[in-house]
Amino acid sequence: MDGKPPEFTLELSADRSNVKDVVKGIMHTVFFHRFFTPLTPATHDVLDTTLPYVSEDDIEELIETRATALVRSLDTASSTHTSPQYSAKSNGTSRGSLAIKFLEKKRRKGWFIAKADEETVWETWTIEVTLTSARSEPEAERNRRVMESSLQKAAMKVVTTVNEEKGHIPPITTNESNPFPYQIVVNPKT
Amino acid sequence: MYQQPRPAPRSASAASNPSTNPERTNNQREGGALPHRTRSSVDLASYTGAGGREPSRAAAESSSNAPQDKENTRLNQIIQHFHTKAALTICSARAQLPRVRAKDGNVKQDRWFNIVLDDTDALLDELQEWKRSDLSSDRPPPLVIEVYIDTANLSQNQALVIADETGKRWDVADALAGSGQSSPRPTNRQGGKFCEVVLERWTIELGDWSQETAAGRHEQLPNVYKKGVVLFRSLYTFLRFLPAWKLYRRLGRHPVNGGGGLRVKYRIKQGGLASRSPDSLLVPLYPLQHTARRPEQHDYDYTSDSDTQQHRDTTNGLERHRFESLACPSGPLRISVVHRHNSDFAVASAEALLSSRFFGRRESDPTTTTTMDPYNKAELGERAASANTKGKSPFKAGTLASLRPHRPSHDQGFNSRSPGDGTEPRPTEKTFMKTVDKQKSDIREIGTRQYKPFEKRISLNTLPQKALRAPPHSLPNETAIASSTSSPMAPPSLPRYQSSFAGRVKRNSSTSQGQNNTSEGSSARGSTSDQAASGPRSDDDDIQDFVGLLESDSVKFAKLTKPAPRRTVDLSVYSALREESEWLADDMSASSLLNKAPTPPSRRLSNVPALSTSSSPRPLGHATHVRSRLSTQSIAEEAGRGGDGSGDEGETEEPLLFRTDEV
Repeated sequence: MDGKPPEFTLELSADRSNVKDVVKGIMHTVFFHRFFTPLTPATHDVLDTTLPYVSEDDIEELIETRATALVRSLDTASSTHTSPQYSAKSNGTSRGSLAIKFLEKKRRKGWFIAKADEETVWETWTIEVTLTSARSEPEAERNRRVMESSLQKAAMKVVTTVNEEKGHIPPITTNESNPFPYQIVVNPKT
Repeated sequence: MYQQPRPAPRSASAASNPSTNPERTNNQREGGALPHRTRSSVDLASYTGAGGREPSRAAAESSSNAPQDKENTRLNQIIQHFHTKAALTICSARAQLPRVRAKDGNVKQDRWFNIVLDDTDALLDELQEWKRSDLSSDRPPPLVIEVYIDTANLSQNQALVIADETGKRWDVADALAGSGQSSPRPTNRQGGKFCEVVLERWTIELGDWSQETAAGRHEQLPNVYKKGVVLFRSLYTFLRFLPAWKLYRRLGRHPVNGGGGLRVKYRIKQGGLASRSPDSLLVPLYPLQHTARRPEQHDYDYTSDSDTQQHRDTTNGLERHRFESLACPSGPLRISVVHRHNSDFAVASAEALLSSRFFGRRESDPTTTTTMDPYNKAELGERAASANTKGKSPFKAGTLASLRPHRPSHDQGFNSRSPGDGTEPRPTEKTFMKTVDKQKSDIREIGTRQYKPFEKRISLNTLPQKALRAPPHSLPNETAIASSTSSPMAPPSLPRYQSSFAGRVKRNSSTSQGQNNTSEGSSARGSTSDQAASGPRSDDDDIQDFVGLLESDSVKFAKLTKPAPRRTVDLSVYSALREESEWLADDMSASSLLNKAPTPPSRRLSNVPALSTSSSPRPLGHATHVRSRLSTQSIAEEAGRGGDGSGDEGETEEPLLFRTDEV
């Protein structure tokens, strides 16, 4: 039988001025490999790394919205320090996460009424974001380096993962629009 | 897996689907791109470019063969387009390919594997071998694409250089030609040295059928296509992670200035043929450190990712990456690449490079004879951080364009060789000699920025006078200086220590004490090294002197490249000096205009070029990259005073440095 759909985790570390770009960059990278409709590729540079970019209005808007929401929650968490679900340490780092879910539409034959297509998740990408802050220039420099390397590592992990895990991609049944609906959830409660 | 128990979807499914017949692809172009179908009987009609209509088959053919033929055609198409689309994807990420227009005037695009790229006819000829229609039966050779740069367009006095992780530059043509000087070197049309460096080698191939798994051999073509979509998206992405991409973009942005005639090029050839010439990709362009990647130098570790290791392999400054193969009934379709980890190439003036070799060289062993070996192999000796600090990542940080003279992670210069030899277990005479020699060279390195092979050591302090006498362009340019001055990292305050070799037998030496020569800093460096074994003095005294010298002005002034001052800088001192020197500069320029030489002391003369970096004019027009002119004056004065009160002077170094940087 079908087991639990695979979940891949990407870890990002970013400072306040770059966190939104970094998160958006990785989200676009994930979508770039999961948007199965013919796509004219685009790119976007984030922190001296060229990442792919999906120039589809719906996806762009959703990514923008969710990234903004995540950053807002990170800001709130780091300022209040009271929220238990965020590990807001005394040095001001706060954490948040996003989950990108890809779904497939399964036809369901209804006995009496044609039921709506059931949507099931077949893959989840969890992006865990740590917002760093620094109180001195060397610390800021160190944070920057960690941020750049975490971005590169996460992007590379997307490339490696999508190549290795291909067997679970559901068959594509429509040739029109994107066959796989998607959702992005900010700070999903686990 | 997930795919098996799937019911076949109905054809006329989605209400939103406008086309009445889902069998017909909407895409009329060549290489129809909508192959999404899983039906028990595979129908790959959408693969064809002819608007989805069934290709006409010979009517005489029995219907039982028809699906097989269709299948075969589709398979051949997939194999063909796998190769050609990969070639297009790779080449379009490394060069500007000319577009073509279809008959209707639109730009022709290749939409295979659902990634839409502008098509080109530049590759047509070279790709003929992989455009046959019988590829599944008459297997093609591997398709190899080499991405390279060459010096064909460089002028005669330009040289191709590469910067290693410390920023030091190495001549590429020399590295590739090897140490043999006898054979005549190839030249380009302008008479300069010709060389070609392969940056990447991509291999696209159809593996043997036997290499495919049983499941793979029965893979249905729509699945192959679907997985191919993912593969090509990741290929597109990965191409832009590699160092050659950054180089391509950097050269493309400034074709004249930055590249100076340097251009990333590609060639397509068949793999599997014996190569006549040695593989230039395997030739290291600079010596890689023997202490290869030290784990503590990494900010992160790629190997912690579970499966990345098997795909990436790093040796000799090269990295390899294999994409997961795409299974198809004919065998696995594979894409892999071998590439240089470092693509920090640039064009340098050959003169500057040559002189930087002379000046930047130093003896690693004082007993070797000084040979005029101006080539790369003599420029070793820097215990730089490993060449593979980010060894397992395709990313390469730090191009020449973003050269930062300060590399905090590097463990070199004085730091790495602690003069405190108490750590050695049981010091023998031999190890002590080695340590002494090391110390000698360390000390020499601090001050010796400009080393002339005829045994006359020039320190940074005495540089300005020499610089004025030497022709201006013989000084290394800014980048080179930045590299060389970055090498000796600022030694921290050295701990006081006692000799652990008390009671050791001394070695006699005829060299004089270093203390006598502090007025001329250079010989202080040179002879101090011998003071460790110089007569009837105890080890402690020697080492104390040694430490004292290290903590003297000369060492302090070696902290030139420290960008972040840890102490507050006394700017007032600096500004006072600046005013005075601006006045001097004005004076100089005025006098030079009047063609009358004033009579400033020679020391002051040396200050002018440095200060010309500020708003005042440059009467002497020398390179401003030689820094710390103020220090020259200060050192000379300080030396006379015996070296006290040098703290302030040392601090004034840094704002001057920043000022120069700003300019």
